[in-house]
Amino acid sequence: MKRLFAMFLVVLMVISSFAGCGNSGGSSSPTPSASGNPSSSGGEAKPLDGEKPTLKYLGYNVSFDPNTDPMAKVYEEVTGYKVEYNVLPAENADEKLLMEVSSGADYDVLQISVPQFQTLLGQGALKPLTELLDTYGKDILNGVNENSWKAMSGSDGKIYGIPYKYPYPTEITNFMVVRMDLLKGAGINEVPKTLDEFYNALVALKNTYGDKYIIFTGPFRAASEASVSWDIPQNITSAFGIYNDWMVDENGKVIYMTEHKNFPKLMEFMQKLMAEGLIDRDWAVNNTTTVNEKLSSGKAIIATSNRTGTLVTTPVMTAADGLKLTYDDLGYIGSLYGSDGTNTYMRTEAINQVTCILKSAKNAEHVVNWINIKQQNQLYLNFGVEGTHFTFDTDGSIKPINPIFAEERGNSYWYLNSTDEDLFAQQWPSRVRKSDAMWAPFEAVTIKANKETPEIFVDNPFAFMPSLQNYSKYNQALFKSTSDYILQLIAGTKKIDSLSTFQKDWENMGGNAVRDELQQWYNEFYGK
Amino acid sequence: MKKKVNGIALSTSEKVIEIISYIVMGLFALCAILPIMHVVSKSFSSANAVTAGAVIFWPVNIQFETMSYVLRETTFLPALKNTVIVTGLGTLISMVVTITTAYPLSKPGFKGRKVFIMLYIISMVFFGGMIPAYMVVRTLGIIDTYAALILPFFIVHFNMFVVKNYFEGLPESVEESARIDGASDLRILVSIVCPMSKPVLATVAMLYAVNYWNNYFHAMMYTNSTKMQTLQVFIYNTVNNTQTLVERLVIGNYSNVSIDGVIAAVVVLSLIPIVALYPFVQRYMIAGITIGSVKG
Amino acid sequence: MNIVASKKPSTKSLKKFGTYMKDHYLLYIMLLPGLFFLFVYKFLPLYGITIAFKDYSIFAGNNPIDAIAKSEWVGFAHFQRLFRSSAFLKVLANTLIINGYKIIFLFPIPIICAIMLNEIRHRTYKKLAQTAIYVPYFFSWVVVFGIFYSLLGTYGIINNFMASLGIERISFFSDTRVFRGLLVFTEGWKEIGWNTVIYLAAITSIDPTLYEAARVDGASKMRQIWHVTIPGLMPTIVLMLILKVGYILDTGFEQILVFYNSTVYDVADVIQTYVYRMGLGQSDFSLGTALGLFNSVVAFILIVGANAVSKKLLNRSIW
Repeated sequence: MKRLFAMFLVVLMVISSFAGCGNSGGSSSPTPSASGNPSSSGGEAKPLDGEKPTLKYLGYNVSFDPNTDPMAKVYEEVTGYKVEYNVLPAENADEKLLMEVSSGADYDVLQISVPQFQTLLGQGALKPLTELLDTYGKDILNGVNENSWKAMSGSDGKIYGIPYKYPYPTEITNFMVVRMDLLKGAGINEVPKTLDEFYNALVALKNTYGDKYIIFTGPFRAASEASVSWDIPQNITSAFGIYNDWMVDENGKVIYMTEHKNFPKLMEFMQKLMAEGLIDRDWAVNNTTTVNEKLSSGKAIIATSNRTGTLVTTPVMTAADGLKLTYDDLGYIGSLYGSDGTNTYMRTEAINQVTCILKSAKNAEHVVNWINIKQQNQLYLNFGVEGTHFTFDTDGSIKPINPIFAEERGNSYWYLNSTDEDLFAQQWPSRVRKSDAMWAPFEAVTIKANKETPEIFVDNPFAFMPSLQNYSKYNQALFKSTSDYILQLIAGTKKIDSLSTFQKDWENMGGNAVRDELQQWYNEFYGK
Repeated sequence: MKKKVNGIALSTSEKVIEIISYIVMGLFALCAILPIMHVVSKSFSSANAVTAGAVIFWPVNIQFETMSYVLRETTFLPALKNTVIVTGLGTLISMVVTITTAYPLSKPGFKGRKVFIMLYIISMVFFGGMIPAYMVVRTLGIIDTYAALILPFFIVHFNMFVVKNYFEGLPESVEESARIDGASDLRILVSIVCPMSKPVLATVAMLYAVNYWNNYFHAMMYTNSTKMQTLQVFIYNTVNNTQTLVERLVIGNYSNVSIDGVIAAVVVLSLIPIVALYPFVQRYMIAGITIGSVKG
Repeated sequence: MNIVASKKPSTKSLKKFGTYMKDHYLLYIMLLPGLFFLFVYKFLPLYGITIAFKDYSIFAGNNPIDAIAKSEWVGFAHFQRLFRSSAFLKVLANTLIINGYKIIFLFPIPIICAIMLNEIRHRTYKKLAQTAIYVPYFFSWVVVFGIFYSLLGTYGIINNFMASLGIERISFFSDTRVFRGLLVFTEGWKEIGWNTVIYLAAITSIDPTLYEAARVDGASKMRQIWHVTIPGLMPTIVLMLILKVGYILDTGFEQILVFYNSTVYDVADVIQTYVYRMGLGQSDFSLGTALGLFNSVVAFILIVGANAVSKKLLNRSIW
């Protein structure tokens, strides 16, 4: 049957080449496409002299056409490389990527997510970059920190990917927006800082306004099912010492969030809120859109949110035809303290995207050169020209000049492959300033916490973990089933005494396999 | 019905049934229209009204910026062009293949009929999965071309069966007389069977057009470049990528344009061409005329 | 595949076949384009079904097809993984119940709609009504969810209205008692008009002289519908019903994925959503193919069976 299939494929190939309908998106792989880029193979000796090839790029999905966006021109002018940008679909991206790569796609460079990178690396589909970086990528090598490189290395110790790290590790990404005008109406003038204050505020609001408002709505999760987002805001779990799905306890043992000693207490707290009618009854149904709508329409008093959320809701709430609020009427609740003083919020020391090169790609040295040039021009490409797009503040931070900054540099994030990480961490907050609606909560929650209570930020022990087989295979499904279970607990369709049953199922679903793997890595990495 | 029923007066039962029909269908239509109004209204309402959920069945603070944003600042129009080409070409090809397949299979005396029908039934039910199908398309060298988007719906089994069913119901007598006159099978199909089948052919053509129009999965799998993006891929990316969309709106200073407004506008704009097709199809849906005239 | 061939070919029938071929060779030529497509795009890829019996890794060979050959056989391991899981019976039951409801409540409505639309003689009214009910088909489920959440959400338009009358709010989207109803209703809203179109086309094929004859016999409208329209629609009804029944394991995935949440898993989790969650983030082609094959086999059996029943009871067959 296999032969038959192969035979038919050959026949088809012949037919189609006769029919001349071959726009050759790519040939089937045993004989790699001959119609490659002209400046390839032959001139290995001085690969970067002469004409620069057009690079074929595959990136993550974005809501604009990166080929026609003004940023593309800017990049071309600076680097001298023409790039043909392609994007993965918003859905089924993994399948599409695997299918293309395994059947011999001819991209020069890919920018993909960490799990996708780990899959390709595990399958041996990627080119080692260590030597290329040494020759053409000095700035990249120096700009990226040691730990980030570790996460990009294969088992042979060679580098296989160029990381783009999340620029601001100590950001409180998940916070709550609270209507101060209504909170004050209930006799509370301060934004809650502890879990108890938060609970008391909810009760006071309920006593004052009854059923007129949804007291507290959430969670803030993307509508698409596969996305990983927490069903209990992380600034609440912080009060219970739960900051990540995988953690390490005081004895050095790797535990899952459901195994944390405070997990039952956390669920008890959420169940109490539900039972007393303090949170949205549609907690399990909500997504970012419905939460934003409830907050901005004035139906809800407190809502979970993030920077993108306030970008949507704040302009509406402050509008003359909206709720007519002022920025003073909006408060932001950061990471909450537990009654025993616990407050743990995880540093997002994560790598957002990885740039890598397929084994079969022909212009690898040009790709590295191209990324290196981009990083050399980090300030110009991401922030523009001093005086035109931004000014330096007295404290040395960058202050963007809007709207020209937003118009001419707003989309640069999609084109970023690597950064001088330390420098970019300083430069980046100014990008949040492109909008007041984003800046207000960032200042009130993140900057404040960094100044006053930096001790609340804890490290993710697994931040720089390399590709682990069981982890990449099972973790997403494990997280989803846990998330479902948590929602069932909150809604009251499951009781907390079912935890041991859940835990057993979870272990059989791959939980134990992942834990063993993580424990082993943890012991080795931290030399225990 | 076009011809009025002469001579016989409408009985009470007929009247009752007709009145019930008017009322029930009116209610059905209303049920369908109100949510549609909701979406249309959103696409013409101010960002604040949309985000705050104030829009119900009528636009609030009417504006046209959302529409103009979608038309000018997104890849909606190029995507529309691709989809129109694929739909037009594809429907044409599919109709030819469907008619030429359905006709022989509709003849009770056609030798080998059962075998062929069984082939169609089997291939309708069993599915080899997306990997081998992708490899076929790749081997044909048509990845990232219009041909790759037409191939999957070359013939849709259900549509073929609908046409075959209809052909079977046509009176045998007309064909017989033509055959006696020495007409070939092809001639009979083109000049007698097809004209008699206008209502079903128009309907099936529309079914195909809608198939091509709504096709997301194959477009996503078989095209790569942004130039080849179709309407459905564009819609999926818009709906699933709200975060980058928000940033876009802020960057472009489209303060009066909201995400939900954009999604609504995209949905409305992508509906118009395909819905506008329906009245054309309805022209061919007048009962009895064709068959009657051929007979007369 | 060779039903005819198995009937011992006698020389006589071969001869007969030869003359038939000669007379009607055009009919066979006509079939070619369709058959070409069938072999290239449908039968060739059937090779991929073997993935269900292998531990498929897409990178095992030079290309994905080569990888199929090089992946290891595991027999029925994937099917066991599917059927042995504790939740399988529950999700199978949910699939059958939800799709059963959809057939029982939704299947007859387009037929009635088509008949009613046919009775409406005001042409503009008819056209408008027809077009209106057909539009919802074009909304994707994500958009349909958005519309119905703002209507039926716990704090949506309808619940706010009920609350203002002092009636308790109903959480349509998280109440296990009403959630299946919500699924059936929204499916009806989206699909009824679309299915009506097919019946409307079929109604036009009914010979008008039959109505005239019935009228002359003094048959009432109701009797005309019963004795002329319904029998005239029968081939289409049978075709649609057989296919609906055949695909009973296969429908509603996209809708449920968008509408459901973990609080209604007990009543709404179907086979496809369950397998989807099981394989989340794994790109597990083998498990997906195994499920697809299981569904195909069931569909094939049901379609052949339903066709046999219809042949016996109604003397109608789709082949």
